[in-house]
Amino acid sequence: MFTSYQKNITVILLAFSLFFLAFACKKDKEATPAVEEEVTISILSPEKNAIVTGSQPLRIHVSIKSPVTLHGYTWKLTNKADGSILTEQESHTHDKELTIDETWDWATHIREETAAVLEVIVTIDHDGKTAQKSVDITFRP
Amino acid sequence: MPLSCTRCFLCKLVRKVCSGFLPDHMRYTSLTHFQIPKFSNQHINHPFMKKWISGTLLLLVTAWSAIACDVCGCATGGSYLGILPQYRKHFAGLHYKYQEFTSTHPVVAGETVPVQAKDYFRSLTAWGRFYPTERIQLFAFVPYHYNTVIEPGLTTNMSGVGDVQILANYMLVNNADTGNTAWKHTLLAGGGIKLPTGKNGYTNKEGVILSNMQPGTGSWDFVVNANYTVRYGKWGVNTDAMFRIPAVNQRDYRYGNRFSNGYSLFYWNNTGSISWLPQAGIRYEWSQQDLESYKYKLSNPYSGGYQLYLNAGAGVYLGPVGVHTLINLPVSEHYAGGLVKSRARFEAQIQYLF
Repeated sequence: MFTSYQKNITVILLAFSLFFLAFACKKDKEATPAVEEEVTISILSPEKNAIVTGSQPLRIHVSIKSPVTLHGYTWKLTNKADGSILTEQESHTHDKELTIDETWDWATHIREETAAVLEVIVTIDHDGKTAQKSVDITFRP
Repeated sequence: MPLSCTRCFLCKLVRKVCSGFLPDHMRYTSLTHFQIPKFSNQHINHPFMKKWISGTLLLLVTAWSAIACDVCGCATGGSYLGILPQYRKHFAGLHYKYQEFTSTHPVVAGETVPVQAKDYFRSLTAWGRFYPTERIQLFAFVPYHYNTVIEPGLTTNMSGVGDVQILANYMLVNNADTGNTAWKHTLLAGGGIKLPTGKNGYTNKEGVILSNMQPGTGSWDFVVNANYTVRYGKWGVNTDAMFRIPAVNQRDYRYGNRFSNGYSLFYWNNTGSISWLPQAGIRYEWSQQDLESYKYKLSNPYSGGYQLYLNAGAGVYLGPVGVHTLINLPVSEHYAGGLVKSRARFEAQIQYLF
């Protein structure tokens, strides 16, 4: 017959065996792409290399899709010649799908032909992980 | 009621002081096997005891009322067993826990200053112990959570039945009933599971899922725990440890592993119909950082860290009914990278032993 001590040891060993057995069976690791590569940023307006003319405000229309919840976005227009920021907007919002649909009255700010870049930066997490996309455009007053 | 009654605390104290010795029937046999004296009208009707019991109940009701306002919080470690009464009895009871946190949301896109929020966590848990054999103890926990987060211009309440947890513990050591051993030891160890019965996925008005505020984790968790009590005379020390390993839930969110460890010094006094148990101790709670996305290994900065509490409380047992309160004060913490600060945590429970 087992003594009380032997019984206890048996129970402990059995419990530990079951515990480690439960966590021993793991699937083979599958290669997971970086989340930045999985975030889709579609700049619908302006189009790439668009020439912006006339007096109509510039429409910034962007569709963003992500497999994880996003934490916000920034879009900015930068003067390519000197790196100055023409305009910038930020938003702190949470969703897997975001839409930017805004306008900018460029004609009141730009008096001469200006080559610019529209950059959209999406905040993926609070550790500084981002995804971004940009298009070049030219303002021609 | 005159002071000549034979069962209540005050009368025995008077007799003890006067006669210089304790009567045999006042001695308890074992904390882990303590016998709560039979309830007596003589005892309860004593003026001193009436005041004492009224005061205790008033304190409890007052505390409960205070909890009704929005002050509460969440713990890193989750549940723990602590000091357990009468190992050879079943019990059913209710446990209330209330805690408040302040959290600072770091500056992100579109913000210039950090957003401050207050988080209030309240949970009422129906729990019980079933004692099927000499050495096995089964525990079940069914919580109900009512959580509130107040951000500037936005208040969010999330409530509902939480995750049911089942534990099976094995009595590895128990010499409390053996002869005249001065040192009494009791060691319980085991494990269990937490089921994803609570809702996970509530959103606030802005459509944001606040993972720390959900009634349930949405995951199957595995739990291992141990509970050890050593007693010498009326004094004793209890220590417990619990480690929880959550799995990934359906949202691809994985709550971090959690650990809780507490030490309590207590004094057990068995006086007439009433047994009382003041206690003081320390509790350490730690949690691994959650993963917002397990697949992409994105961490949640509002999680992970440790908290160290000093606590004090008391339990009172009247016949088969036990009431226990405990206050925890944080003395050291570093949670969510310092973004989350906890305040006092209050716990109260009532048990019926049978």
